[in-house]
Amino acid sequence: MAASAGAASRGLAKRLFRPPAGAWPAACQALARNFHFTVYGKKNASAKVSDSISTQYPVVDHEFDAVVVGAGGAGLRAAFGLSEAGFNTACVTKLFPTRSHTVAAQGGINAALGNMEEDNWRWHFYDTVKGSDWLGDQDAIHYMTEEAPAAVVELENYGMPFSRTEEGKIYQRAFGGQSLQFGKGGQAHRCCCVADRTGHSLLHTLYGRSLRYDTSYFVEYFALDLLMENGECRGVIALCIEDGSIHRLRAKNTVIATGGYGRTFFSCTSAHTSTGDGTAMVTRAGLPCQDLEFVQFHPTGSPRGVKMIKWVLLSLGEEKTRRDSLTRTVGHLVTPCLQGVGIFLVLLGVSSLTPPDFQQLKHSSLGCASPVFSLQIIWSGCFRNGCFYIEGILQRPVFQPATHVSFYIRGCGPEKDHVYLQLHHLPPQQLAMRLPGISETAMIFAGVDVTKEPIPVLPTVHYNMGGIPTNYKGQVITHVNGKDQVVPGLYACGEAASASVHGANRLGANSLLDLVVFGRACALSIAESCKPGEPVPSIKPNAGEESVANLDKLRFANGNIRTSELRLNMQKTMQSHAAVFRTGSVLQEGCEKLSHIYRDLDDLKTFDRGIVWNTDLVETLELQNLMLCAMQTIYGAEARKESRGAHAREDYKVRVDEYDFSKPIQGQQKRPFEEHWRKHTLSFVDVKTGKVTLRYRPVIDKTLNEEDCATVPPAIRSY
Amino acid sequence: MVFCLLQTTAGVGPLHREVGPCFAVVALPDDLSGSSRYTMARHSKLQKQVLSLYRQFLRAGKEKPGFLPRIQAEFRKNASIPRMDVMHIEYLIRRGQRQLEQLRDVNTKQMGTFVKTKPEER
Repeated sequence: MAASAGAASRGLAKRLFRPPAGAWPAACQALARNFHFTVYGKKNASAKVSDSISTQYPVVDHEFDAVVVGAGGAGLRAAFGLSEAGFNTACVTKLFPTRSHTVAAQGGINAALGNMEEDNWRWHFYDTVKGSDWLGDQDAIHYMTEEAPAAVVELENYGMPFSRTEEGKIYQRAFGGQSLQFGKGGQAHRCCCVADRTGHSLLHTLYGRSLRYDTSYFVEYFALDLLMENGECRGVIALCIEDGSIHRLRAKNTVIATGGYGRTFFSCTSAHTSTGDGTAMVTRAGLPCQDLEFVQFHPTGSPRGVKMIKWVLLSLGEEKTRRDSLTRTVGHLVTPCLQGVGIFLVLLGVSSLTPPDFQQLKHSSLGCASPVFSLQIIWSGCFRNGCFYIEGILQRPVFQPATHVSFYIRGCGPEKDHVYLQLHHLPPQQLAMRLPGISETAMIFAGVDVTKEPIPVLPTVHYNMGGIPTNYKGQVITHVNGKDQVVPGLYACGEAASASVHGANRLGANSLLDLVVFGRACALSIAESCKPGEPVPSIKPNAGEESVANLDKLRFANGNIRTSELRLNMQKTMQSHAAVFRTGSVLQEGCEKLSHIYRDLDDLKTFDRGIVWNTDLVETLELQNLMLCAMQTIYGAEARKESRGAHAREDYKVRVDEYDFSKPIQGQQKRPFEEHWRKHTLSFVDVKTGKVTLRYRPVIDKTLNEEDCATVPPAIRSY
Repeated sequence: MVFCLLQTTAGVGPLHREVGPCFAVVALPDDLSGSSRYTMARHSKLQKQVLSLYRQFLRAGKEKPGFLPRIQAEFRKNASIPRMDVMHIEYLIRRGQRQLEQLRDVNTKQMGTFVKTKPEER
């Protein structure tokens, strides 16, 4: 099939490579952006390239059946899914595929395989809908959870080295938020993992598999913009970082899988390359982005900086000697990602505890072998005054019902902004077997030997639930006249997309599942709607001119503010104004500050004027992308006057739905669409002025097959 | 590299031919005395590599519009690199090979340029 596709495209190439005489004007009219596009045809082969090389940008045109932007988990899956279906595919990525941020995922993949106990994907569906705080589109969640077992088996067939049980089946462990029997049957063991390096092995497996297919990889090409014409997406324009040439890849189908934008915040678990390039490209194309205000903060991430670590060790020493004289009790906690192994979070300085059980707990020596009970952290946040708030589920092993608890603790360190995660009470062999990745990460990033000392942790940005709005097939949609309308030729999957399976809060281990399921879904829907070898739609001869003008402007930028300074300002603003706990006045102040910072983008100064490996230029382009995402996040957060999932407002603590679900629905008046908040935010940005426009779109409640899997009606979310 | 070679023999201007500059080396003007053919050093392996790359580029770029002037310009620009700067030359050869692969790829169609028409007011 691949051979015939190759022959078909070669035939196509023969028809297209020699343009009919007169089709190409020798030079286009000079346009408003001061660039004009020329092609040197065979006739004027002796035309010399002019001397002023610095103001000329060579552009290479390519034609493919499909282009995938991004080569992480979702991008690779989409790329080789398309190649498998016979499409001539290109994969444009600014990083080498195995360096994408998917490699850092630790948790696992949820799938109702039923290896540890009896399981049903409908229970997984229920858990995901509930976890998303009823903001997830139930048709997409139905699709994902039904496809999950098949997806995991497919990965296993590709050679992914899952952890195994004694019988040789895939080992599934417990993970936060997963239950049996629609929430009534206790903890479900549904998370298939590869020790604690699931993302790493997933990405390497997918990369290895993708080499079997003839996808053309454009590695270290930075995608600048989409080529849109008449509301259709016709390809991508990218900058080759290695030699500075511009490439326009025309294709009938474009898939965006560029990942999230964690780097808008000061402390985040994302790589330096998570800069929301895809979401920004879509915004610049005039299309909306969905639910960007929902940013998930992981309760236990590492703080930055080595200097702080030294301080931390000293103050631990102080606290240690005072520990015996502490009159307050110290509890033992278990974090969600390490649950089931017996990990403790050491609290130094507990100020108030809600459940009476805690009073009975005495902190004996740090070397206790088994947990007295476990607390599964589902929420954690740190206030400005150095106080930590932790919410979790207290669970004693076997036969006891889980209790929901919440308490405040004082942070440690000079800025009181972190707490400690203790692992050294566990036998070293168990640590090495079950948690090798975390041991290594703690050593490299925090300088801490986990077999001896606790690790400093604080809530950090971890995942972006929002992104490019798509339907369950992966097609990008806009909302026109009250209805969803598909944008032809554009697809999105992975963290960059919002399908929306995660809604207001993502359950752990669902994001890796989201990558593979929707990566494959994009490939399948493209295969359904087009055939390989179909003629590629044409573009204007000077398509992509604005992107090149922007590139040129940034390359010769000579203002006053460095890129790194502006980026730091933006990150600090976002961290202090749009963090875990949000308040109206603080958010409004943040919106003002960020708008001001956005205007400062015109005053940038770059230092490298070359075009070959110009990382200053690439970082500035990334800053532009981050800024667009940050604006939409904070304006969306300011406008949403309720608390739902990851968006927690101190001044509006309740969830505002169409009915008040804490009371029976009968007799209640349904609130009109404008007055409740169970809807998706669609944000548009006017790139020149930085003005954010917000519109709303209803949540899809109907599943794909009501008889097979009934809609879960909204209810109050409590665990 | 042929341009570099020609520069070392003073008085011989670069020969402008579109195809196969290596031929320019062989077709030296005959009015030079016979011994001068032997005073000219042979191409080093690296120079041969560059020449072969140039030849391959020209052949591959013939079919697709817009590549030839660009190829020529790039090679001429880099011709002034000193012979001893092997690291740089090898890097450019490797880069050129990757670009050649891309040029040969059936999906690459044409090359154009965005040219700035008037300077921006700063």
